[in-house]
Amino acid sequence: MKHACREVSRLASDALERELSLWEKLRLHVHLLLCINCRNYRVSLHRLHETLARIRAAQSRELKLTEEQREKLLAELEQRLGG
Amino acid sequence: MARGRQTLPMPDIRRTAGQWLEEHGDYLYRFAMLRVRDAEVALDLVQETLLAAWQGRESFQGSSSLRTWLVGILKHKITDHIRREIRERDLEEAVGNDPNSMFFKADGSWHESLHAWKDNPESLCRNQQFQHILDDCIGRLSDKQQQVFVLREMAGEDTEAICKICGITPTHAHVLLHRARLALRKCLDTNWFGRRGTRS
Ligand SMILES: [Zn+2]
Repeated sequence: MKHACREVSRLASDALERELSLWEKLRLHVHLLLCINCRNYRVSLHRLHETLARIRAAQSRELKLTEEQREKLLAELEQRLGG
Repeated sequence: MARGRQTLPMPDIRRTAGQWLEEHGDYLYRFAMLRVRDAEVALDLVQETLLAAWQGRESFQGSSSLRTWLVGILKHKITDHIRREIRERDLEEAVGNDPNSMFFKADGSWHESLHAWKDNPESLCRNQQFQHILDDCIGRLSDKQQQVFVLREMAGEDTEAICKICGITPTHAHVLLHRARLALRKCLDTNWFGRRGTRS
């Protein structure tokens, strides 16, 4: 199959974004059976995807405005409206 | 409380905006930060949002929650910001010209053999050193790839939202994500997974 890995790497990425068509799924999974590089690539994509989801969850808990940022924001708002 | 006839709007905005900040500030800031990844810009966007909210406070119907209303305004501000970035920095990246062709041989097979990453996401997400390298690798993506990748993987937006924000088609978004992933895998492999002797 010509251009197989190139296309399959795209399908592996798209699978994280949309429902693949039946034909695409078939193409992806048949190729994965035969190709260790693409299998490893897919595992890497999924690890990366999951790691980023965990980082996002952590940031959603931890990211907060500091008191200074809050004060600065309020002061600037007043200035812009009161000016 | 003897304010007399001098009912300036100032104490009001301080009180109202102060209350909004108190209740929703962290949420809005986080929402912006996850999408623009720059504290300064995120703060500006929150400020713009509160300003617009204050000026349009009469249009708040109360049919949705205050937070939903504020986030709606913030979303517009973020979209404006990102579109402006795309315009000003000319982040167009043609679909036809593939910057990642270097990963594949002419026959479409991989140039190098790929090994499986062994570190698991639970430990990676807590590893500061890894996050530092990850940030660095994301920073090396083309601007447009970075934009789309951040919205997708750092902010958790879906294709539809990304297309709305960036003004691109779903296919274009998927091409950019695919390219970003190819480049990121390579970068992380070189700077993290490969370096630590996990190569099999
Ligand atoms: Zn392959």
